[in-house]
Amino acid sequence: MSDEMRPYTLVAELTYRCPLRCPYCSNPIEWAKSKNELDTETWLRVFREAEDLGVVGLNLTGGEPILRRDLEALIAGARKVDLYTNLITSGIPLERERLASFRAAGLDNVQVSVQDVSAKGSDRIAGLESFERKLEVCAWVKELGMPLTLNVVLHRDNLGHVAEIIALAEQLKADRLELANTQYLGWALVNRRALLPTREQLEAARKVAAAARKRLLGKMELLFVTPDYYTDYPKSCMDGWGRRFVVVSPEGLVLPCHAAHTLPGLSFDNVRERSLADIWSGSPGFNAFRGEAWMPEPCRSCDKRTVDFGGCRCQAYHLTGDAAATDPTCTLAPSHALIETARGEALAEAPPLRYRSVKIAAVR
Amino acid sequence: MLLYPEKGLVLNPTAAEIAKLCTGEHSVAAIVAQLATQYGKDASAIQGEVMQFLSSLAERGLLQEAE
Repeated sequence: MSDEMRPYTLVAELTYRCPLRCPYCSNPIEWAKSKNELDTETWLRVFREAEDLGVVGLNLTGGEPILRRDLEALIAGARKVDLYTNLITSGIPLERERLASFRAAGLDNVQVSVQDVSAKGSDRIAGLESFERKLEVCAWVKELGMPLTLNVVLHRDNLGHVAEIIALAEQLKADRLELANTQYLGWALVNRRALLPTREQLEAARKVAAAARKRLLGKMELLFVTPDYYTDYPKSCMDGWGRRFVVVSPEGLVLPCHAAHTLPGLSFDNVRERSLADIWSGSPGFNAFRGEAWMPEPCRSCDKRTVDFGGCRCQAYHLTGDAAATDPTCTLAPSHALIETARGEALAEAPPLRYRSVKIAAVR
Repeated sequence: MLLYPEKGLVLNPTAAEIAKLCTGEHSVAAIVAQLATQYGKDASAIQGEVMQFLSSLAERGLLQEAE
């Protein structure tokens, strides 16, 4: 396999379970029940096989990964094969002693999410009283000598608070702040009318973030992720399908991205049955959108095809019904009017939020 | 490879040598002196390059002053 398709990062979705109910959760709406989660031994094998494949970084995520009782053992296993390990967590439910044991097991970085800059705003989105505890967890991360990433998902109700969010990150001594605008897939697509900001809101927040990035250079890395509904060209989603990332779902499906198993007609393999290397190189689902042969026009003859790799396959499917269509967020896409319509809706009053829940019937 | 959250830097062999010496125990002058000896060069000849690399690490927030 060429270096063109070498995974650098393993995204281990340890569970889809989570005490929070954020209405923009990127987990699939029909999420798997926890009884089918991979066991400790299988995850440890996946980590070893990932390292053999060239992976250098591991994101432990979910759902809420700290709900896994074997997380200490998983971190220790990742350390043993020398993976740079990042825990992506809401911080709920966590005790200081347990965080210290993660540190002792070899955890390299902790990413904590808050949903807004006040308890009221944050807890409203999380659907759970959690903000004050999250701040405590952030303080523990620093006290225990680990780097802290603070992550805030942005949408129309908190974009106006970006200056305060940056101040909070400074106060918490975060090493990295991710101001990540909502990606409209999964639960976020269900709630798009309630979450999508206007262009004016977005531009104002972007200016604040750009000024702060300059001011904080060398002290805090500040990332502002623009929602692709407001860019002219799509993102290079996952740095291209099956190129740099390998995602393993809680039940063991090996995927090019968090939502690839929501695309119909693609078959993905389970790490219980085949090795990671076998799946990476030979799985039909992985090969479906590699390279350029699958591309329709205008992608196929576009000089940006090696930059954005045709954009997001999940966005193409969930908006147009065709996973092989040009990403509608591209201004050159035949289906781009869908995005213009959605931007128009952002000017209207927001409907109530639909919270993530197990009862999917209520959403459909 | 120097790894940090969501990113990594592929270091050339000399950059890796410099990074390994950034333990908090060596001053910049000491790092320059050690590399000069190691590569058989004048300290003044490599000082600029070492400083440039250290600044690029500091800008990324990857280097802190020792306490």
